[in-house]
Amino acid sequence: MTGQETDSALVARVQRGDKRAFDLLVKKYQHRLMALIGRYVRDRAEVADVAQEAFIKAYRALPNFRGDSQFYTWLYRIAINTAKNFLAAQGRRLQTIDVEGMDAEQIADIAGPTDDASPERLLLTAELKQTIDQAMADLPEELRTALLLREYEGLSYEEIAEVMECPIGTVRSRIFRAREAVDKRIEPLITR
Amino acid sequence: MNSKHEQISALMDDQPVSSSALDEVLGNDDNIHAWSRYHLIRDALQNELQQESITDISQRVSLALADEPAILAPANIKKPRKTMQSVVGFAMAASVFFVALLGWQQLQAPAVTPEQNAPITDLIANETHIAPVTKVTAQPAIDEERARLEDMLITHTEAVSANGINLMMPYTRVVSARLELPTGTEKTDQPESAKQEQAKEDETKTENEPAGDANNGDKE
Repeated sequence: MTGQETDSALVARVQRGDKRAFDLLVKKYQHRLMALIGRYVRDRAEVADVAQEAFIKAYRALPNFRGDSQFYTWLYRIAINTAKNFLAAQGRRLQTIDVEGMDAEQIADIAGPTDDASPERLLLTAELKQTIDQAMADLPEELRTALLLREYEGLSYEEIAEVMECPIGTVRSRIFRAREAVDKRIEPLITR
Repeated sequence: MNSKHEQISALMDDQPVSSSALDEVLGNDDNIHAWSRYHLIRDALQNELQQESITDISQRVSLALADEPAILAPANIKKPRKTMQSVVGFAMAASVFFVALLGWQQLQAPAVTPEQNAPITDLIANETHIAPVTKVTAQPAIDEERARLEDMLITHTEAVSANGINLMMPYTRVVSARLELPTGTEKTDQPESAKQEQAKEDETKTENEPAGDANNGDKE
């Protein structure tokens, strides 16, 4: 689900001096990391600042990363510590709301809108989610099923092939075609 | 349909891709954008997308890291395997055991008393029943034999070490041989009366035992 082998390959490249590989890791984890930090830091602008700081700390610490743990757990640990340090520096108390088991909307409701959440960004987020949902609904059934089994259920290609009674190559193709179809719908929103 | 994007889709899920797939992603802006959007779709489907997380901070991070020196870390150091660790541990434990054993043997060896260190003439004077001639002749013979044996063992040890064979046992033998060899004083300290008794016993033994060669001769 998390692409651990790809992460390892990217980390190895960064450790050999390839900064572009780190950019791929940032693009991959930035949304999840900001969602995580958003559970500690309420101010949305500060969430981005803390996330940026966490990525910079991770980059600087990468020479010492030996792969004993998975990259994303290591990165999450850095992000949580950075958020806690940020709050401590601000003299604020850590939010103690238990967010486990809540979905994104519930967490967003608890956090509530702040002055830093621009109407444009809120609109974009809502529009993006709606567009993806619509794109998924418009997919042919076999493409939608393959992608949902992969992203919602976290099944491996082998397991999806078993469920859908088709070769793994077909699963790979279906998942890609589904992503491509959704991507075409969101691309105008992202690039505008 | 973009086949490069299919590689990106496969990479996201750790599926087998060509060895150059990562290079192709990294070397093309269009592929990097696709990589970013595909992960955005994944995060949205998995409810990881929130209002604050929609922000793309990758450019900010990239700019912040622009002045950072590129990492040139040594290749990941693999931890020694458990089997290797156990072998090394056993070797160390064995070495410690041998050292302890040798130390214990040395402690058990009879301590050299001032009497033993004293000149041989003093010993003769102190023990009235000992014949001085025996002492004078026995000591050099034993010392000579011991020296010869030690030389032989040391030569053997050096030859073995030159061939890269484990050195612990040969050295152990050298030290053990030293400890086992009787010292001249121990032998010569035997009282004359005891020697005489031993000689008598030997004579009695010889008289009681039938001569093997004679018996054999009878049979033949």
